[in-house]
Amino acid sequence: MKSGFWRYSDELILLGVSLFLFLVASNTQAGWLYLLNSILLGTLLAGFIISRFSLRGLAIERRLPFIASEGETIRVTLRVLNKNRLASYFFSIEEFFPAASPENLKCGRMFVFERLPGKATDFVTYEAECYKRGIYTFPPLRVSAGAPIGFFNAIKALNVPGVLTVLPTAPALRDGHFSTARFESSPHNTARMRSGHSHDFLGIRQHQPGESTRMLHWPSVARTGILMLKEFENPVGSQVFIFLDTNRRFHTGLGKEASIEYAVKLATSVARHALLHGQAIRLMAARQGEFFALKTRDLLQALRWLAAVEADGEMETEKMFVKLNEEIPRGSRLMLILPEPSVNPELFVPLMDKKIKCHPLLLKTETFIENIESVAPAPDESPQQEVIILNRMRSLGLSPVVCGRGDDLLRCLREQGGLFK
Amino acid sequence: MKFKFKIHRHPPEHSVPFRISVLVMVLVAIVTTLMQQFEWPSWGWQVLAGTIAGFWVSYLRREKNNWWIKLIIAALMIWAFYDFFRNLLLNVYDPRIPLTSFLIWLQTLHSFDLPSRRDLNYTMWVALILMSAAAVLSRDMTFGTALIFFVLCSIYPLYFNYLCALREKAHLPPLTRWNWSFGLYSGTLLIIMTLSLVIYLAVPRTRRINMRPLPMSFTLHLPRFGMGRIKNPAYPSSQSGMLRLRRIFNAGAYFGFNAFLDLNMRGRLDSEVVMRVRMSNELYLRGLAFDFYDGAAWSFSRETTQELKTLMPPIVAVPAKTDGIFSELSTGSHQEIQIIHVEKELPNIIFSAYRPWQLYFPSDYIFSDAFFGLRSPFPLEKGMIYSVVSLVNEFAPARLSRSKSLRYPPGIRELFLQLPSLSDRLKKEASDIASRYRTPSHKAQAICLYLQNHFQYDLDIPPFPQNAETVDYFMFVTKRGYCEHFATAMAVLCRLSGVPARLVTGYTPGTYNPLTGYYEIRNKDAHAWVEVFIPRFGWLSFDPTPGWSPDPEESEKEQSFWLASMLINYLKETPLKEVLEASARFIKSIATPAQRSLFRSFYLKGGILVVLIVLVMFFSRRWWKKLSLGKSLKTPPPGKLPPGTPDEFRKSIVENYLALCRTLKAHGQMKNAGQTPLEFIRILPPQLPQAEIIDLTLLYLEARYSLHTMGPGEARTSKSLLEIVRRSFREKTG
Repeated sequence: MKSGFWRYSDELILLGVSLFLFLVASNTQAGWLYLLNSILLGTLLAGFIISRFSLRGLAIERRLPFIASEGETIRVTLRVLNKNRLASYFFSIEEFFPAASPENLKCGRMFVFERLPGKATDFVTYEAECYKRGIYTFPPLRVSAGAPIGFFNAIKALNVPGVLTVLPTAPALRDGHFSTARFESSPHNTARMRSGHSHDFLGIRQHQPGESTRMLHWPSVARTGILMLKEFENPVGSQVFIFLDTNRRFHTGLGKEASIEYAVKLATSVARHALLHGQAIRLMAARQGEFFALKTRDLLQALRWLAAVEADGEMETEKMFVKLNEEIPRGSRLMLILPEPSVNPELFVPLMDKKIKCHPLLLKTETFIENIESVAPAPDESPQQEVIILNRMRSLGLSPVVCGRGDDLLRCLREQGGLFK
Repeated sequence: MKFKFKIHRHPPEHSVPFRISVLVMVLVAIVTTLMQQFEWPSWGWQVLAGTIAGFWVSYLRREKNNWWIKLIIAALMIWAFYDFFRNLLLNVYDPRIPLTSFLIWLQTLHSFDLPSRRDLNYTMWVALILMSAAAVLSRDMTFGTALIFFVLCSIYPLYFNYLCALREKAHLPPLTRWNWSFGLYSGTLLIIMTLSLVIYLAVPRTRRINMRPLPMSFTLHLPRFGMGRIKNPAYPSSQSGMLRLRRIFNAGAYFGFNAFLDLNMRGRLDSEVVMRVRMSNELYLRGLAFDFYDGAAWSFSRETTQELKTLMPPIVAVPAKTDGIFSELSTGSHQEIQIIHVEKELPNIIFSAYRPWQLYFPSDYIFSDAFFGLRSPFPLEKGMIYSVVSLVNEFAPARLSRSKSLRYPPGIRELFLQLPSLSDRLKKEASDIASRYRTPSHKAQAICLYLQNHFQYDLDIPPFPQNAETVDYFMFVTKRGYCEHFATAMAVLCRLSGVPARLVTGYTPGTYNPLTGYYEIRNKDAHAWVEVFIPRFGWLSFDPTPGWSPDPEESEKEQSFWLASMLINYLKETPLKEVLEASARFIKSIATPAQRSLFRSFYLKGGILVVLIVLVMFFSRRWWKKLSLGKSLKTPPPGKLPPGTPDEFRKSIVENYLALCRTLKAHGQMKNAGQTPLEFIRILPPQLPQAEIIDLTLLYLEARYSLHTMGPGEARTSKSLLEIVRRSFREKTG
């Protein structure tokens, strides 16, 4: 599409022709040429005015599901309303679906309206595949009109707010992968949360048959006549901590095959499995120099959090570990998803001193680099160095698992199954 | 070494309505151009048929490789080019006809190779060029009708062109139907016409013709004959000098273009157009000058002519010695160009503004009589074109007034003071009018004004008595007459006052047609006026007929062709006159003479107009805002509520959803933390109120995760959905 000055190249040529005709008319006194010239200019001016008028009074709304999953095809509907009394002609709307694949990202969808009567509404619908997880904001719609003869095409950027959250998908962990003996099963195949022994009051809920009556909430019982239990925040043992190192310096790869995507998928699988079995999760990551954490029992909330994760962290690894040490209670279970180059086994020592059981998953980031042959290895990234690091971690009592591009994520998680034991 | 030729091919255009509309536009342009030529060419119908056939072939073969067609077209175009140059060389002074013919053939040949929309666009451009060429050729109002038709036809292809481009961009199938809103068409046409009219009125128009060489018809190389005798086809019996033809008046031709001028001829000339002239100013076109007056008619005292010839145009007109023109008299004059199109057969008189200097005439020789009347070797035929460059005097009145010299060149007094025997009262009258003035120019002006103010113009006066002296009878008996009488009277009175004068016949400028740019001269514009010899200045024209300008300076007055000025002049006749005059007085009071002079300059007028338009646009903020692009709103970060969004309705919807979850949980359908809301509703048993649960879930997601504004309506909806679900459960358990 022509842009800038060249967008009006045809019109400028016509203006040049008009000027030439005027000069010829002036020199030859050919009266009809003046009139022809005036008609030419009048046509250009009419095109300029009518095209801008066609854009006035157009209002557009977008309807779409706000949550979708990776790879899911969603339907987007645009509702176009003409607020004018007169009809609008020959305008087009170009929509750029933000969650499209990279090759389709710049290809907008164009919808042409030959005529939209005054005070009338029209709908256009299209389907689009959500390529990758993320939180996407729809860019402004490009509305253009050149009615009726295509001169001085008016283009207007119409901002129709729209946010689409594409949740990450990940292979589902099955119970057989881990030992879940701590959980009681119910007829409805749902896990029940046990009241914890901490002092964090969570709320009250109805007493279920078979449960202890030690923590009855007597005021509610007296008021309602129904047995109601006090609920406390689950103790340390029933919470899963998941940490993602999002340091931009270490993550590599593009698109869906980027190392950060693998990290998110791993975290998604673990989080979903934990929530499915009634465990609360605490997701942690460093984003743009700040440490972010989410404590939740809501899968959708967790998935939204994970959808927003990007490899944009700027916090030093040492600082992250210090922060982890501060945040995570003693005796907790912590899954760390780290890009391999950032790993310093000594940083685990303070955590282990605090009896925090660390389960590191290392991402072999060099496997995510396209055209790896053209990249010279860093001096300290020799294969021997990797072995040294892994050995050191094992010597500290850790069980690191290395995951590269193309590896089976479930296998990696199974190898790290100690998280749920 | 490998060569790769990549031919960039545009996609073929499949839309039939578009092609037909372009074809109609092109045919209108071709027909208009052909009609502007003097006669319809023999190949005209072939061209039209060929264009239609070409469009048909182009449509049928739009997707095929037409290399052989392109070869044929190229060969034919070379032939057309050769033919154009051949015709051009026959007459390099009028390339318009060969050029338009070449363009038409170009268009016809090109129509056989129009596969894509881009080629059809080029065709539209050529049609516009053809119309421009026709506009240059056109001399009458028929082009106006064709132009309107062209505009009506050209909106359709422009519309189709745009729509086809739009549909192609949107990957839609080609346009196959003709449906178009009459409202849009008529609205577009109205806007275009209105804007065009405003621009047409506002655009300043210059007054100078700047063309070289000037156009003329094909040169005729005829053998010399006649030696310049006057041949008037309307009065064939008057070929030999002094033969008088009485009472045989021809309304289609002026009797003054003969060897003599009978002052007793009566009749009204018709309104047939005899000439169309392009000139910068309103100039009288001089034909013949008479010097001998016998009391009832004018004639030539000398029939000698001199031949003016040239090998290459232009012919330089050289006056005879008896005309009294010397070289120093050429100072103080400027060039005026006249391009004359002969519309009717005329006598062999070359009409031009005095004093002709260079002629572009379709003959390699002409004749000049003793009084600088130019004559053609053949009568002027319809369709003939010739051009004249005249040196028109521009003398300031003050300068004229200072000329008290009475030194006339040899022969002037003898020829141009001749008079028959006149009455004493006539001589006294002449003395009374002119004796108080000392300079010849003042005398001439006084006589001219006297005649204009004291006598009436009347075409219907009866013939004078046979023995009556024309001027005496006119001035003292009838006191009415027409141009010949007024001119004769002035010439006689000037001669009586000692000022050499002669009677001249020719044409007035006629009516200016602003659309064609031509002065249309009709039979009835034939006129007679006087030329007076002022020592050191030469012959100056005076027109004593009432209603015409008496002052030689007036005829050289700058003519403004700015139609806005004409409109203002028209408005002066309306009640707006007072407002316009008050505005003019105000401007005069604050502006110096130099500023006023500058203000009259059309360049400044145009510039002021443009500045005014720009200022109006600039300060019209409301219009400016609407023309500008829409402003982008600041998008809040994802997941965050936009500022100012009412939270209460969102909270209400969220609470209703949580209440739904609790209700479902109470009936054994507990939403697991490891399930998203959508995953949860997928596993619900079918006997539950699915629709309401789904709607409430979607509403919850919108309230929680979208940027949409939630209003009381949505909150009420969520509440009602919850109630329906609860009621459903109550009914089941109840």
